Amino acid sequence: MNTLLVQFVFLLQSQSFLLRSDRIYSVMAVVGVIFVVFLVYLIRTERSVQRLEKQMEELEKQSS
Amino acid sequence: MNRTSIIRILYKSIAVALLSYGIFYGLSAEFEVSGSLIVLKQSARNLFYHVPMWFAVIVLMSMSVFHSVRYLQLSDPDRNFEGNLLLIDAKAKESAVIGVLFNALGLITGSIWSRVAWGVDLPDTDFSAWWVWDPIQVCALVALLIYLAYFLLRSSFAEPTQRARTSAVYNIFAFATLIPLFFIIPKMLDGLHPTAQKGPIIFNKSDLGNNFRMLLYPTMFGFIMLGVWMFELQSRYHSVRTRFEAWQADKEWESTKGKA
Repeated sequence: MNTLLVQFVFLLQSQSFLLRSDRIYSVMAVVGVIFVVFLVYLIRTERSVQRLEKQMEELEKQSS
Repeated sequence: MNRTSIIRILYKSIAVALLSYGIFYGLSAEFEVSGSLIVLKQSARNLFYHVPMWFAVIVLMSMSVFHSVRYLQLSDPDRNFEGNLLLIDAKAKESAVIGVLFNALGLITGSIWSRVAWGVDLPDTDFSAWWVWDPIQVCALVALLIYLAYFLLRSSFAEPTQRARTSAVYNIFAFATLIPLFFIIPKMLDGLHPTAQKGPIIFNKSDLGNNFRMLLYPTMFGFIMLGVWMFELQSRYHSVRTRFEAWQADKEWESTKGKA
């Protein structure tokens, strides 16, 4: 398993950084965290846009 | 909750599920690498991230050209279109922006892959370790430059209608260049990719086992849906901003009228 992970992490950085297996889990964790952070950002943006749309609808109702 | 909201929630949930599966399982699962894939070793996992980028590019650029064509159709005075035409132009631009982002990510993941697979003995400072001048790699870079020129063209017009019309026409030609760049030229030349004329140097599609396909297809759909999600957010935000500006203009006009 460790060997597979070492080989894979080559995709992310140069080998010199990755050949030590104790760093592999850290690199995987970083990829996972970046992914989760991006998803959270996307979901937060989604909610902000929804809120803006509601506010805009209210403004338009008030005007009419 | 209306039907549109349900569809939105559904496809976004599916996107999150597929991407989570593709990223976490794709990183941690054990894979038997056989046939010509042996050359790639475990870097063959990059298939789950590199290949879907290009499918997302095609989908997003198709959406962009669709909106450009729609803009040109609806801007015909005989049609008497009453909606906001500039919003359609904005959608064409937003999907091209996301498409360019995926194009850049595809180039980056490809460059890292070539570093690992073919430039392993070369130092990091050697440019050829990162860039192998593969026909499809060059074509993808040309496509990226063509779309960057699209944004440059847009920024050179101050008048919105003129900008929308000119850039819509350019966008149609930009999309037309994707067909030879992605589907014809790489097939006419030798190269590393599976689409190369004399067959791939590195791997055949037939060497992709079902274990790889079980990850490749879900991540492909996941990344496409992610791109559509990003596009949808951008265009919804743009729509709200346009409505707000129109509302503000109305208010100002009313107050000026009141004073008069």
